[in-house]
Amino acid sequence: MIRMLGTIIEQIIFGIGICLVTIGAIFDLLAALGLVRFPCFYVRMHAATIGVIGGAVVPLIGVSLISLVSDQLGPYRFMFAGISFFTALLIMITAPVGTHILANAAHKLDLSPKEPILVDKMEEDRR
Amino acid sequence: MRGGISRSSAAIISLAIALSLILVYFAAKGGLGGHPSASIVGIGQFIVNNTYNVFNRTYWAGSPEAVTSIIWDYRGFDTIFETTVLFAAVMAALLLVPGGIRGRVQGAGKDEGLTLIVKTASKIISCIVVVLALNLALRGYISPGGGFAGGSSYAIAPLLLIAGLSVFYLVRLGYRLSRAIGLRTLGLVGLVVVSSLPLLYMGYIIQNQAKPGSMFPGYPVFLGPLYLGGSLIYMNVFEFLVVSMEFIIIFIAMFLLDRGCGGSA
Repeated sequence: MIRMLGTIIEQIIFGIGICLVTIGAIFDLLAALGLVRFPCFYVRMHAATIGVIGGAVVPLIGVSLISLVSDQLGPYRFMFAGISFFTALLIMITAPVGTHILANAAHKLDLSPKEPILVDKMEEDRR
Repeated sequence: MRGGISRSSAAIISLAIALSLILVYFAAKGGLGGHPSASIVGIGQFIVNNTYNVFNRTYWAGSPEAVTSIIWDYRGFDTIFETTVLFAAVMAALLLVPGGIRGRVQGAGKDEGLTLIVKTASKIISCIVVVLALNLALRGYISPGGGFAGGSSYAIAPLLLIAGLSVFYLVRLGYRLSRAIGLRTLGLVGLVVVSSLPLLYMGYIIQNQAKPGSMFPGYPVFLGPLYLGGSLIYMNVFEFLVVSMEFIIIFIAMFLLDRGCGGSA
């Protein structure tokens, strides 16, 4: 009974991991479309960050879940899971900061036209 | 040009792809020189067979990491001279700092830095980098890594802090030019001591384990339950000190010069 319950839980975790990887692929496709079709630099950078967070962090967490329940990997499955999770965490910390620095610098130096715009709080602060 | 890749960047990208394809073609045809001869392959087989040969310890290095064994045991002289080259380069760069290298930074300076997000993130990442670099250096005789790799990755942490906050934050944190130079010298002295200690026992210089034709019994590989890996761990630790401190010296001197306070540094 307990063994059957464990097998079911493993199957569920495996399914969640597969779902996360698929979601990551969809996010990557959307990010590529947005990178080509969006009108200005800032919105395109938003699309690129979708590609990094949704297309790299989410599938890496999925990979760590899948490798946790892959018995054929033996004791190495914990290593794979830990490395994947840690990489996801690292990307989640660094990628938004990089985008933030780029956007901040572009706004400060006025390098890119801010065409479709509703409100610009940073411009108000600077005045 | 809005809404697409500009014509010049498209030309550059296609040129790069064409160039790499041509290079791949010539490499596959053998146009960039032949493969190494069979006599060189024999050296690799010798090293793989003898690095951690517990049954026949005549030529062993006492470490399962073949790369670290080559770097610090079989080809130790090469690494010593590499360290010398880096030492000379850093000394030559320090000569460019006006006003000498002694003394300490006077004014704390205004902490400009970037935004709060960047400051926090660079602090977190620099902590992770320090842990990773120590892991690379201290476990360099078991898994891939070593003193040089660990030292150069350790130097990324202060560089991140300089970029995100400012060089004055780094100085207030305790990274002083004089302190870094002292630690560098300590590492160099350690390298000299570890590599010339076998000479006292009528052994070879940079000798790690006992070899035929020398009286030196070799550095301890096992110390009770601990696995030490001969002289490789000491070499890695001292090389880590030397390389990381030399990079930090260069960064601090460079960025202090950039702030116009080279005379007081």
